[in-house]
Amino acid sequence: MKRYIATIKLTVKEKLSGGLLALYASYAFRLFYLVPLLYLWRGLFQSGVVSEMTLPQMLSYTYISALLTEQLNVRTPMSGWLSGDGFINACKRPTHILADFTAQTVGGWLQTLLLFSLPLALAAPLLGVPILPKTIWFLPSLLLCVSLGFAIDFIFACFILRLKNATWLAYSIRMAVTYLFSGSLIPFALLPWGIGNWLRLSPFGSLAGAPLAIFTGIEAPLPLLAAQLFWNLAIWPLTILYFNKSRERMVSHGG
Amino acid sequence: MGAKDFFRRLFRLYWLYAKMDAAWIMRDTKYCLIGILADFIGNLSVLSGVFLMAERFGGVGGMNSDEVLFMLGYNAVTTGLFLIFVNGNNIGNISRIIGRGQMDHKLIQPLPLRLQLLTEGFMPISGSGQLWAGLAVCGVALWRLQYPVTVGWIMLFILSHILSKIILLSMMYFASSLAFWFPVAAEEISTDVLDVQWHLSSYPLGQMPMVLKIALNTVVPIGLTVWLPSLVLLGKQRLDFGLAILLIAAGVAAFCATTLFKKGLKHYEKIGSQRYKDWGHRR
Repeated sequence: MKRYIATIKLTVKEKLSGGLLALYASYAFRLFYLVPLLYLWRGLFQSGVVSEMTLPQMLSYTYISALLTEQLNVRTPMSGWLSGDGFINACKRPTHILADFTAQTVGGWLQTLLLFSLPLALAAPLLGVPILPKTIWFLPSLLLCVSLGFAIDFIFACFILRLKNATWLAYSIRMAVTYLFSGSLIPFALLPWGIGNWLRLSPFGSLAGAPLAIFTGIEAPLPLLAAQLFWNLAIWPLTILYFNKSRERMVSHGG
Repeated sequence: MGAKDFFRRLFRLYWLYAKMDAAWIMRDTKYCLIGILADFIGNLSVLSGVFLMAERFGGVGGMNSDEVLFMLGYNAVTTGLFLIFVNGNNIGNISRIIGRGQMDHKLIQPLPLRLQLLTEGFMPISGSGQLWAGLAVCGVALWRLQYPVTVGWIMLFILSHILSKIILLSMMYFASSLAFWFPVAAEEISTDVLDVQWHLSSYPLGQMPMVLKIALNTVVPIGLTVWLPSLVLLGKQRLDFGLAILLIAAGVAAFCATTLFKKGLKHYEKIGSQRYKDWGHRR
């Protein structure tokens, strides 16, 4: 365990090496995206539209999605560019590669949680956004979402290992998953033509959409938790199998 | 270099980069098509979310769903033009070049910097997928709106895109100039600007509070890259007023970006790249 804690510490230091400007510039851009979105929802819901969600639920949904972006849609350095040195470094360490990437990812989260998410959570009442979960089931749902997020990200990474130069394709699909299929931006309940019902059943629907729906109380927790558990049990063995078959194909293009 | 020489060289370089782009698709068709598909999927996912929401509520931000569709098409065309003209060699993401100390590569070329920046990112074939998709979406939206398209309107469409592109690039170059002073911290700042622009510009700003609306059209003029031009083109904003705002904004944005970039370049010429240690490792 010590070696993984060392990796986490290493990543925290690495993330801070760009200085506070680098961190806060990125946080400022996130904030700059969040605030107009909150007002967009206010304008829309106050215009009298009929919806399955109330305005406070919608604001909570968007706010928590921004606070926990990295946990709701896990992206590890493993699915980063093969042109970087991340993969080679992980292979050289006396650790299990998947566990090492998990530790690196968690290390990368810490300063964001401390310097961005926590202050923003404290500022929520000032913006009139309720940020207390409707039910405690949110926590296990978040854990299952994070676990599934790692599994899906590792599959994308294996896809990159196999296709070599197709990193950009994998990245774009990854982003498409984040922005549309996972429900992190627009709740499934607000999608037309019943699209949300289909997306909810997909493994991507068990990512951000499930914990956020439970947090805001727009859906019953138990069916969502059952789906999350199912997808975790179904996808993790596939991830490990796919990784074991793909790892020998790794070719690094730089460092 | 005289104006005639400048333009002759400009078009020669465009032709050269177009041939190189064509060579990529000939030599490595599979990965080139994969790259085009990737851009298409990435952009479509961002745009379709807003459209689906507009369809569900019969409109959003003071626009009905067809008008939102047109705005999203306009956004895709703006992105497409960005991909065609400045996506190659990180010319759009100039903070990467500055932050990594790669301005040296440009300064030693026997070619004016402005010509390099104007031409090096040109990818008319591999970068064009998004443009065609955006034009198709605009066409469908206009057909659904039964909007009369005239030659004058098409000229206005082209002009507004030129102005949108100037504003967008000015924002990116203004922010990227920080990398001259803070190469490590600001290396990826252009990516952040593009991300915010890309996502926020998909939303109509009509129902936002006035303060926010003004901020998004002045301080950080994201609204001027897609939302306002779309209103002008759809006849929901007075043409003379909208066009005047876009022209002034493009002029001011270009002036601010050029001034700061030149200032940064002077700093760079004195200090050089601070990014690499003596033994070649990146800081």
